[in-house]
Amino acid sequence: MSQLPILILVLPMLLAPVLLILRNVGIMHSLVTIVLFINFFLTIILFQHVSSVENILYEVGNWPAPFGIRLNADILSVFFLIIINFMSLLCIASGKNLIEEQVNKSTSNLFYVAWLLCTTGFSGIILTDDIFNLFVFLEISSLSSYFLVSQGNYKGSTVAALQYLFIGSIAAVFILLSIGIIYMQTGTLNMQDISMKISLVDYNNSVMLALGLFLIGIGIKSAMFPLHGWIIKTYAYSPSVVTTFFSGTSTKIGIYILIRIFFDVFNNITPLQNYHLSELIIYLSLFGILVSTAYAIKQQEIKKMLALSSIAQLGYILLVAMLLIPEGITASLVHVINHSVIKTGLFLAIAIIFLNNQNIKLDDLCGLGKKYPLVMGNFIILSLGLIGIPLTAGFISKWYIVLAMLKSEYWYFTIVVLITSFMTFFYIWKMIENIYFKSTDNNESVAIKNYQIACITILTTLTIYFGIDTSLTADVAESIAYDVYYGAL
Amino acid sequence: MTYLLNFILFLIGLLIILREPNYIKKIIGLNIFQVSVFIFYILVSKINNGTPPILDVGDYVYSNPLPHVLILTAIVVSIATTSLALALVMMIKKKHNTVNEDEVKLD
Repeated sequence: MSQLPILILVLPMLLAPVLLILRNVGIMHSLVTIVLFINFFLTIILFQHVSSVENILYEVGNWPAPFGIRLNADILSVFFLIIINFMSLLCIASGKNLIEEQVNKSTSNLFYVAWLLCTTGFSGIILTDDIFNLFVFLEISSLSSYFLVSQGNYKGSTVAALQYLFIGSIAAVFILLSIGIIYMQTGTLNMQDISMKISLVDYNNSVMLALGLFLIGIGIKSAMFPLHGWIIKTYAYSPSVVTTFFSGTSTKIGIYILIRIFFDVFNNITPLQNYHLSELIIYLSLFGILVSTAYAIKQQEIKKMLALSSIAQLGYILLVAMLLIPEGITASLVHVINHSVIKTGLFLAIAIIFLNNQNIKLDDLCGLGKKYPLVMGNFIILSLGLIGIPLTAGFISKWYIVLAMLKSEYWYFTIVVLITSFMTFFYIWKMIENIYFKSTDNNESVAIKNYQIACITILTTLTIYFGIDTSLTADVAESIAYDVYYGAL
Repeated sequence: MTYLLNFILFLIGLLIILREPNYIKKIIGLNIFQVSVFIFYILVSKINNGTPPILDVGDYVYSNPLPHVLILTAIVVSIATTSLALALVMMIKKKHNTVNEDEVKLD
């Protein structure tokens, strides 16, 4: 049992070099699926153990903690670990023919290698208890995601990947510099050690600089409002299976780092209250929510529209987390998991219908309701979830968000939630109108595999299930939030 | 003083990445940007009158070796980033026949 955290990291990492010597794409795909399934299974066991028994601290190579590297599986990390591994498994399981169609044959084995390394990097960021390791895993996941983005079948895919590389590297260097300053001030790299020693350090300008740099780095990674520019191009030009994967995971990693560093590690010096950092983020994300939702209504391309909607939803997640009350952190964690499920489902539906992944406009949706009743039925339920209709997961998220806002001093922001829900309804309605109430002359149709329908139905079922029974989302999130808030993680 | 020079190097690198339209020059800027942070780590590890950290008899003041090791890792990451960026630039050159950001058309 105590070996579980390292197993989750090592399994996909070990498979990656094995894939390099294989030539058969079919075998490769099944191997990756099996390993990711085992990984998901292990995270479930880990979740049960951590939530019912105790946290697992794994010391790599048996070196004791402040000197060696330690993996820390507490309830917050396991919560995110399940999301990452579930989305990775689901996307790869449903994406076989998408990868065959869109990725160049000569590089498709490298595609699977990069996929595994990306998953390892994400899991590593979540599990590690060493702040420099966090940077290394961040770079592992980023480098492989630049490659994944560059494999799209657009002319602009490589350009999008290179631009993502520049902005991502800037973020990584900011984080590296910030880690350097923190090391300079505390003399340690272990997160729990930092959290104890940082309170002994005078609250001086260098700590402030470190926190600011870290915030900018995380802001880029989690698409915080003025730093969100990369997300639209990246989502629009990557292979559709990669878009589906990233929509549920890559920005959520930024949120995880934010919660881990600013609420857990630096809990003793309360960095967000000082210098009005939290207020700044609140107003920026409020502005971001309104602007990106307005742009989403205008947008004609569906992938870009969904990317803009992602920015708005991430704005909500950041906003409620920055209210700095336990209810706010609960709402933000609930919305992380619900938005992951809903947005992955929406992107997956678009991905499996538009196999060639070229310029998917709103008009291309015309008449699809008759052609693919099953997929489009799922699509509609998921998009209702995005608006926040009762009995879907989106409603639970909105409920907790509004509750948190009413509890805080920013109660008047609830109006913004209502306004943006209406605005979301506008662009969702434009899609529904095209799907069900317009016909088209185009009679071509793609054969949709049963396993793809199964995957999207799983996501829809989860959306409805999380909308009715909140014991897996809200109750867990609440216990995490109170632990984080009172520093008992 | 050295910290100030280092900070200027940091700003030069950031400015080149953000302002320069040529991708190759952008990559050079990225390298300058990363190296400025590496130098920062090395500066942190230096202790006044410190000797190289080699185990020897007697008590003496020695420089902190840990930042050097960390930076070794970061240099490897930086090399990987640079080579990936150069590979992407080669692909862009093949597809678009230019390495200038302003001339590249996305669609």
